[in-house]
Amino acid sequence: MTTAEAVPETALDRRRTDDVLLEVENLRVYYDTDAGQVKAVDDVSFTLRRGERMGLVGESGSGKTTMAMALMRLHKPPAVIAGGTVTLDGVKLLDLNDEEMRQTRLRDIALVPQGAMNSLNPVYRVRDQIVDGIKHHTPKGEMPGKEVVNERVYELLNSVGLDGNVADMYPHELSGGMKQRVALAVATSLRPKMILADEPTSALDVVVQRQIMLTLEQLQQEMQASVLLVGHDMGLMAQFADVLGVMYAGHLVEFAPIAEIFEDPKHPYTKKLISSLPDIQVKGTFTGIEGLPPTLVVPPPGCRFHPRCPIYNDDEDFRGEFVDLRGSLDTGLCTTVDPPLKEMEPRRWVACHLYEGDA
Amino acid sequence: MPWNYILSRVAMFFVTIFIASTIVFFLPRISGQNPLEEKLLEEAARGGFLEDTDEMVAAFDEKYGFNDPLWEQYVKFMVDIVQFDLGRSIFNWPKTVNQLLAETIMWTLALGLLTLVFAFVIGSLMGAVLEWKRQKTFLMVLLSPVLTLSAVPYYLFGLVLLLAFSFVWSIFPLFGGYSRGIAGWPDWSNWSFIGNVLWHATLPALSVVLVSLGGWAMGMRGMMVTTKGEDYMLQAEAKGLPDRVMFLRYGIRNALLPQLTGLALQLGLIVSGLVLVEVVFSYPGVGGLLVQAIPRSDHAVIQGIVFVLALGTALATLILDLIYPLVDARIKYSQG
Repeated sequence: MTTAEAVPETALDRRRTDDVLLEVENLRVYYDTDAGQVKAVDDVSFTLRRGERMGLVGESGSGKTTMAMALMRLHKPPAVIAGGTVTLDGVKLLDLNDEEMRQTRLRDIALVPQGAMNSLNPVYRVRDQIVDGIKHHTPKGEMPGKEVVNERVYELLNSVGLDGNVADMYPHELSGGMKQRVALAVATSLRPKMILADEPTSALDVVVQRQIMLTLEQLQQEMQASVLLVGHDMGLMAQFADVLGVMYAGHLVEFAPIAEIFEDPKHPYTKKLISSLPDIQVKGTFTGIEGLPPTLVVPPPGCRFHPRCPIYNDDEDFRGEFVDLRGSLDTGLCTTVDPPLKEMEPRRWVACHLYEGDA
Repeated sequence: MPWNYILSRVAMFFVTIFIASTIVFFLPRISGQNPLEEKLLEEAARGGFLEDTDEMVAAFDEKYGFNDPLWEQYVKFMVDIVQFDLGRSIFNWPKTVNQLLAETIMWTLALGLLTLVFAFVIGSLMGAVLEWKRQKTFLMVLLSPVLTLSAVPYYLFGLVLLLAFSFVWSIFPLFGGYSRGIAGWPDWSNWSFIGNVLWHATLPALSVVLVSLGGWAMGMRGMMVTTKGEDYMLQAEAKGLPDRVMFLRYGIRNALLPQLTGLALQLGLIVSGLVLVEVVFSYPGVGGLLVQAIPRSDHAVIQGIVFVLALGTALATLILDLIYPLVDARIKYSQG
């Protein structure tokens, strides 16, 4: 992994080039259930630049995985995309027909599955599972010969730190870390423009976790692909991501470069999230975020976070830090108006009534 | 393929056969009925009267060794079994059981294997497609009658078919494996004879296939539900694989594994499953023979048929054990 000092530099470099790869606009993904419509992803917008690494964090049920799956149109009923656009390198993904979308998967946008998943077909060798993806993205008759393909398989396996003989093994003969490496090899087999990694290191121990993340980073650098890393490990995000999106109850509540969001979180939820992280220099008790995420069938009126918001509720621990801010806050708005995501500075977005005046 | 695995499985096979033959030997003898007495009583009933029945039974018992101690009979039986000599039928004297089996077993095996394969392939495909598409297709409409039928016993459905297609509409023959009384038949090199056989086999086959279809379909559908929810299915879609490939190589390929176990087990049950169907359609198979032999205590025939059934089941299991690791790599050739 790049050293701590190097991270802001590369991030700054990337921010200078305003080359947007992925643009998500007002994306809505709803679940149609008997209990009513669950707005799992509600009006989410953000942009991701070429070669940029974005982290997406949020509690369980905040809609981050639903949104990630919807980006590849892998959402399953009862989930439906109720609106919005997803543009990948100029192509509107939601307008593609099924066959075009199929071609786009793996070739332009690839998925690295959750670490805990059995994402390999148990009855085929690793080789077959790398080759079938390539084969079904190569026009008929243009598939290179067996030797060329095998060479490519070994090359891919080596690029993720695996020995070539893994190609002839079955998934049950591999360890969790090796399986995840194979998944990385599959995901990068067509050099996609974008890699979507949904908790790629869940269920792996920290040593393997670090190795996998290093490998992912190395592949990303080499291909200059963009990465969307979904998870809830803030430490991992701090090490890996250039920009961070924070989701709460189906909304993207904050989006900012990683260093800025750690130094100066804007949204009260992000503030609580970051203050709940252990600090090696400060000895003391951690504060969690009280309460539970709201039900998305009947979300709280106004701002979805207000029932747990330390500022709205005038939480004593937070008063000192926010005393100035709260003075200008019209708390009536919190319970009536859902705050929109607003750009405070370039690439700093936040959805909170605290910053109404600044926008 | 490791040899010790194969050897242990083959050894298991012989142990199974040994135990099966032992049971086969003792079971008819528990009934306490004397086959010769049954035969002579039948003759007596036919002739009106037969003198000195008891002496005749005693004489025959002596001649055929039925008076020997049980263990001696058992040893003799086992020695014969090893040489595949299943003895002679008392009721179809002097035919050997081997001859009787040779005359009938191909009918049963052909009918049984064909219906099993048809039902397995059609049923499994139906179940797989039903779950894969999950939309209202014509298959959906077919499902309820097929499921209703699976609750009906073969022979009962066979009777209904017989009544409708042979008795009322006379489309298919009422009984038999082929039309009797035609010179030169059975002649397997004659196409019109083969056509005649197929024509006779249609209703018995239909009664089995239609009834067992639902079981295969439901089994496959259930497995497909599980397989569809597997992580590798999502990954296959994320890999941009075409629907056809996901269905065949990821869906069916995995969902089929438990179905194969069911298929192997059904292989061993072919003959016993067809007994009543053969009776209903007067089909010239092993089942009809068995049904004749049991009430007459024709020990040698019962023993012979049951032994062949046990042999078939054990053989099917052995073959499955040997090929399963080729189908599913997770199952190892290990001692177990």
